[in-house]
Amino acid sequence: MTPLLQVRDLSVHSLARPILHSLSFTLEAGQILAVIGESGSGKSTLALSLMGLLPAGFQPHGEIRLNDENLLTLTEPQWCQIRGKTLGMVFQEPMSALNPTRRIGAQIADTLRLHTTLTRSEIRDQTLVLMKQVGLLKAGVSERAYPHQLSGGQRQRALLAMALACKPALLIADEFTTALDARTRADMMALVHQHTKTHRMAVLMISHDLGLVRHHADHVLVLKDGICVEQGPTASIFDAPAHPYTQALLAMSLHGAAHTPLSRLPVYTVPA
Amino acid sequence: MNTRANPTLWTGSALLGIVLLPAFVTALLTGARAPAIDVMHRYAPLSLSHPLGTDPFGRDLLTFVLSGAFNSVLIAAMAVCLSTVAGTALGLMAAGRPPKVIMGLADLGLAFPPVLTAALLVTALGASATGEILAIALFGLPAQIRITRQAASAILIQDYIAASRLAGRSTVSILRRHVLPNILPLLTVQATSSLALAVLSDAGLSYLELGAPPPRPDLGRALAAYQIHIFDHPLLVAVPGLTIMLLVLGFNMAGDGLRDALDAPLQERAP
Repeated sequence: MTPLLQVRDLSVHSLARPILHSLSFTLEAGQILAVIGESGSGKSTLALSLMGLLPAGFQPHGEIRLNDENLLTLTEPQWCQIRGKTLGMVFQEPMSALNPTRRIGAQIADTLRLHTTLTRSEIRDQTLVLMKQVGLLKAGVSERAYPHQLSGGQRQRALLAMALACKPALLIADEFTTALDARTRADMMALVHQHTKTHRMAVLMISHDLGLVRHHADHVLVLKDGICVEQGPTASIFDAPAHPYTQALLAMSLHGAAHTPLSRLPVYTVPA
Repeated sequence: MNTRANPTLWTGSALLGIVLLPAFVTALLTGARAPAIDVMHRYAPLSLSHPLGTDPFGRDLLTFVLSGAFNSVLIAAMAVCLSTVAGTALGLMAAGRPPKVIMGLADLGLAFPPVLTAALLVTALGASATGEILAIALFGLPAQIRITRQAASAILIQDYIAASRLAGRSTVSILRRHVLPNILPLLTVQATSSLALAVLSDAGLSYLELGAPPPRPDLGRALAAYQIHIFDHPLLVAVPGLTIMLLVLGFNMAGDGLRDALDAPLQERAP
């Protein structure tokens, strides 16, 4: 069976400066792939290339195959067809990712309105189902509420509802749990996990939270300066990291970085 | 919209009401045409049948000025509609991109003296209401493009626009669904304030004989024609002049009041 997502030799350049270096990986339906690495390692650029939303001046090369279709050759109208429908994305900042002048229900319904032929009342019902799934109805949030009436966690729940609305084949989650408290984070990850089981949704998860990665991801890809230094099943990466950078990253995050003076942390540079 | 405790908005509306209500009634009754010439009653004093007297042609001054005010506001409104629609469309097209063709043309428009543009248009089209409307719309266009582009660009960098792209919305749909509703209060305020400028431009162009030709009653043309009577029949100049002043002041104050009423809650609502 061909994997859902196949990335082959993906490189991204901005003004001749390389951001990503011939990256290759695959992602099967129903699996969670975590991309880890320090800030500036190219994680978000990878997410944006997969969504076809690279800023002007960024040039992608290589191949991104989703369901055996090369995404890099798509035109903008074709992108509009698959964004939100086959590809969903949630990102880090829930406070500004909702339009302040539109009601929550209308914004969640937007994805359904754009990609399905449901009637108005079916869309409304579906919106309420989604709001129930992400726990907004339980928190007493009405579909008629405006974003400023919601807390940060509730907004992130609304954004997740928007991303999951059309049951995408691939969800890209760019540090989407960073701004959340531990309880909400666990709830949201559980919901994402459930979708990977029930709808065979694949997840590309970008995270700094290695505890979360270890607990939820099936595979891990370690990025450093735009190069994939190591990838493999989560257990083997965490238990026996082969690359010195991965070892350093894990040591800092998992084993009391607070006790290690910065000057003693190993510094590793990837040879060009 | 918070319209309570907004004296500027109410005063502006009241000033406009004083002129526009009777002007609309007059237009309804007379079709905003010039009153009949009556050479037997030239320069008639104030009376019950002519509350503000008559002009050198024996026409009722009150009817003439009210019809003139109606025509002036009609031309101003059409010009502002034209420049708002065209300016908003062009501004949205130019938003979120480096300034190129559209902004270059807007800058060129700003550098061109308005009266010269009007004179060129009148030469090309002949003195007509159409030429005048086009000329006034052209004065307002560059500012409208700049304001729209500025406001829309500020919205386009918001995260919810990126989120909307992720949901699969096209650029045109984002401009229509997210950007336009967000800048609508600003556009409303801008249009109201532009009306003041448009009324003033209409008066100015007519004063210079670049506006719509007679016998259409016109405030600027009346000022130009009757200024020689400023000492012997001061009402002939004072009434059209005061009417222009009331209209401009009214639109300006209403615009300022609307800004307070529409902008303030939007700023409070922003996260």
